[in-house]
Amino acid sequence: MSQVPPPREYTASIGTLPQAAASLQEALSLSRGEERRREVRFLDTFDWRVHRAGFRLAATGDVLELTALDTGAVVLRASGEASGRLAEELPAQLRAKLGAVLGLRALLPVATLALSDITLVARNADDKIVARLLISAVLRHAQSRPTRRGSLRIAVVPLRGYAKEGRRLSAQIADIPGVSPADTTLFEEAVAGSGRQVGDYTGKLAVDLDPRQPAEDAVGVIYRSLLATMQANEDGVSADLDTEFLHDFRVAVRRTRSALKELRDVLPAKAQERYRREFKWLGDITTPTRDLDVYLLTFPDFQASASASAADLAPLHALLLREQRRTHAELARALRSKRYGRLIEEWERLIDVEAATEGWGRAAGTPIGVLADDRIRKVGRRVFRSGAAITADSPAEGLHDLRKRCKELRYLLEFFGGFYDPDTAEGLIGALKGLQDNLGEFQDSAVQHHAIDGFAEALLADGSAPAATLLALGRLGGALEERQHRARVDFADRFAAFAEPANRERLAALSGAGS
Amino acid sequence: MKTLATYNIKGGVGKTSAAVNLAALAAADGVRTLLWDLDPQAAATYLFRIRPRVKGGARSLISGRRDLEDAIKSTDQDGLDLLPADFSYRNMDLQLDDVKRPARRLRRLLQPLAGDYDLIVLDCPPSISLVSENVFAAADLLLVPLIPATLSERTFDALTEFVSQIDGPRPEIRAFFSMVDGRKRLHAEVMTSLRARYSIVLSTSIPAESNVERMGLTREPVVITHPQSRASLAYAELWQECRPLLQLAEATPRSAT
Repeated sequence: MSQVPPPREYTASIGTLPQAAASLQEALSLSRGEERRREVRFLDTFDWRVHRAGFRLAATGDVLELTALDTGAVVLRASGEASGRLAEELPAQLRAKLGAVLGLRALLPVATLALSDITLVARNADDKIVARLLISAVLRHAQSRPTRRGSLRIAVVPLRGYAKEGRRLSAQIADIPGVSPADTTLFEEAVAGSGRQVGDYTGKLAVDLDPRQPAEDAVGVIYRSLLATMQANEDGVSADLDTEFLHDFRVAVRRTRSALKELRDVLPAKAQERYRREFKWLGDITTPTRDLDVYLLTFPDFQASASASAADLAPLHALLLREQRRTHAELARALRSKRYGRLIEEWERLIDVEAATEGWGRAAGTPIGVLADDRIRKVGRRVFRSGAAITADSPAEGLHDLRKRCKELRYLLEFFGGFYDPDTAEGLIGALKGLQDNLGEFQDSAVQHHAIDGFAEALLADGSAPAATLLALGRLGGALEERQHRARVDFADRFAAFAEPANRERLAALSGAGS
Repeated sequence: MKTLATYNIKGGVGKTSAAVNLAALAAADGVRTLLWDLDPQAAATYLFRIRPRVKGGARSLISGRRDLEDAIKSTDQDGLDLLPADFSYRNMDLQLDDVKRPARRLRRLLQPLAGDYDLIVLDCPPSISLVSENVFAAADLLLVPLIPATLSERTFDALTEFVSQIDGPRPEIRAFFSMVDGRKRLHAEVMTSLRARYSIVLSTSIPAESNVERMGLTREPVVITHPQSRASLAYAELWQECRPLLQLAEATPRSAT
C-alpha cells in the first residue's frame, strides 16, 4: 500500500508504560485502548533474504504478519507455522509471496521480543480514528540482557489516507521532553539483542584487497573471510537447518583449498602442506551429505526422468532420507571431533599471528597484484590449453580435470577480480559459467548414475523394493546416462564458445594489477 | 483479488447495509478488503465516519489522472479500507462514456489494487446505467438484496436478463432476502415462491431490525456494534454463503502484531 507513510519510531524515557500512556493521552487528547502482552518472533533466512527483499516477517502466536519495510504496511497476514520451514512447507499464501525469495533457505527465528503495549488513538471531529500510537515496553529480549528500565518505544502507526494527521501526531510526540527519534527500529534492536546484525551474512565472498599490498596481508584477509564463513555456517550445518548451510560451508572450504594451492609460497611451507591436507579432509567429510542433499533436492527431476510415479520411487526416496540422516550424523560428529576443533583453532592462530613467527613463504612480500596476474594468466592458459586438447575420443578424466581448472580460475577471478576492469573480469566469469555448467552436468550425471546403481543394488539386496521400483531405477540410470552423453556431445560447442578470441583477449587483459 | 458487488435497480432494499456489514465481516475474517462506495448519496462512507470527498471527483478517477490508491482511506477496522463516495459520482455515467471501452473501465481501474486487497466490495447506486454495466463487468459475485414483495420477482427477472446479455465474463448472481418481516404472511409467501423458482436465491435472509436502521446513528456496522443481534448473525451466515462463491484463499486470522 504505497500511500501509507512509513511508521515512525521513538524511544521515550517518560516513566512506566501506564504512566507514559496516561501522560501522552492527556497531552495529546488521545483515547486509550487495553494493555496487551505479546511475544513476537521475527523470522528470516540465515542470509536475510526476507529483509533484502524489502519485508519483515513477524510471528505472534500462530499469526504471521508480513510487512513492507518501505511503507510499514501489512502485506499479508496468515495463520500457521513458519519457523524452521522451507518454502514448500509454508502456509499457501505466505509461500506464494515468499517462495521465490527464500529459494532453498529455511525461515529461522532471528530475534524474539516479549512486549507489553498500549494503543492510543487520535480521532477527528467525526470521531473517526485518524492516527494510532503504539507504546511498547520491551519485557525481555530472547537470549540477552534486559533492556534499560524505563525506556519505551513509541510508534506512530500510519493510516491510509490520513498521512497528514499521522505527521502531525509525530511532530507533537517529537516535541515531548524525554522522547527522541529512535535510531534503530525495534526489529533491528531485537536482532542486535540476539547477537546478530541485520544483513550480517551473505554467501558471497566480499574481500577488499589492494593489489599493491604484500601477499601475506592479502591472503590473511582472504583466509579470515573464508574461515568466518565456515564458522558462521557451522551450527546450521550441524543442526541441518537447510541445505544451504552445508553448501556455503563447502564453498568456503573449496575456496580455501584453492587459495592454498594457487598462492602456495605465501604461507610457511610446513603449514602449507599440513593445511592442504586438513582442508581436503574437511571437504571430503562433507561430500556424502551434500551428495544426498542434492539427490533429495533433484528428486522431482529423477521422478520425471524415470517417468515414474511417486509410489514407484518411494523406496528410493526413503533410502535417500535414511542415508542423508546417517551421513549427516557422521558429519555432525566430525564437526565435534578433536581434529576439526584443532584444525579451526590452529588455522585461525596461524593466519592471525603465527605465520609471522614461523617465517612466511618466499612470496609473502610480493604484491598480491603480481601474484594475481601470474596465477590468473597461468591457470587461464591451462584452461584454454586443456580444453582444446579434448576431442570426442578423450577419456572422461580430461573433462573432470578441466572442470577443476575452471573452478580454480573462477575462484581466482572472485578473489582478485576487483583489481581489473570490472567488465573484463565479469565477462570472463560469465563465459566460464557456461562452460562450468556443461562440465558440471557431465560429471554430476556420471556420479549420480553410479550412485543410483549403488542404491538399486542396496534395495535389491534387502529385498524391500518391488519390481516397479527397480525398473524405474533402471530407467533413471538410462536417463542419467543419456544426460551425460548429451553433455559430452555439447562440450565441443560450449568450449568453442568459451575459447572465442574475445575471451582470450579478456584473459590477456587481466594483467597489470601488480604494477 | 475478487470483487463482490451489492446491487439492485431499486433503492432502499438494504444494499448499503449488506455491503458495509459483509465488508466488515470479510476484514474480520482476515481478508484484506476495500469497500468502494459508488453511490453519490454516500451512505456507506457516512457509516464509517469518513468525509464523502474525493479530490478531483469522479472525473479524475475515471480518467486515470488520479490513482484510486490516492483516494483510499482506512476505516477504524483493521484490514478494511474505504474508497469514499463523492457527490460528483452522480455524473459518473458521463465520465465513463468519455473513455475507451467504457463498460470495462472500473474493472481496469481496480486491477492495480490486486496486490493490496483480497476483496473489493462495490456498493452501487440503484439504477441501470453505464455505472451498473461497469459493476457487472468488474464483479465476480453480484449480490442482489430482495425485499420479499410482489414486484421483487420482476426486478430480479429484469436484472438476470440484463446480465445475461453482457459480453465477456459475467458475474455469478445470487439473491438474498433483505428487510424480512417475519410477521408478514406476504413475505413468507414470496420467499417460498421465489426460492422454488430460482436456485440462485441464498438460504440466508436478513431480518428487518432496528439495530440495522440505527447504524445511521452509531455510524458503525451493526456486526461490530451488536455482533450477537439477529441481523448480525444473519449477515455472518450470509458471508459464510458468499465466501466459497468468491473462492478466496484460506481463512486468515484477524490481527497479529
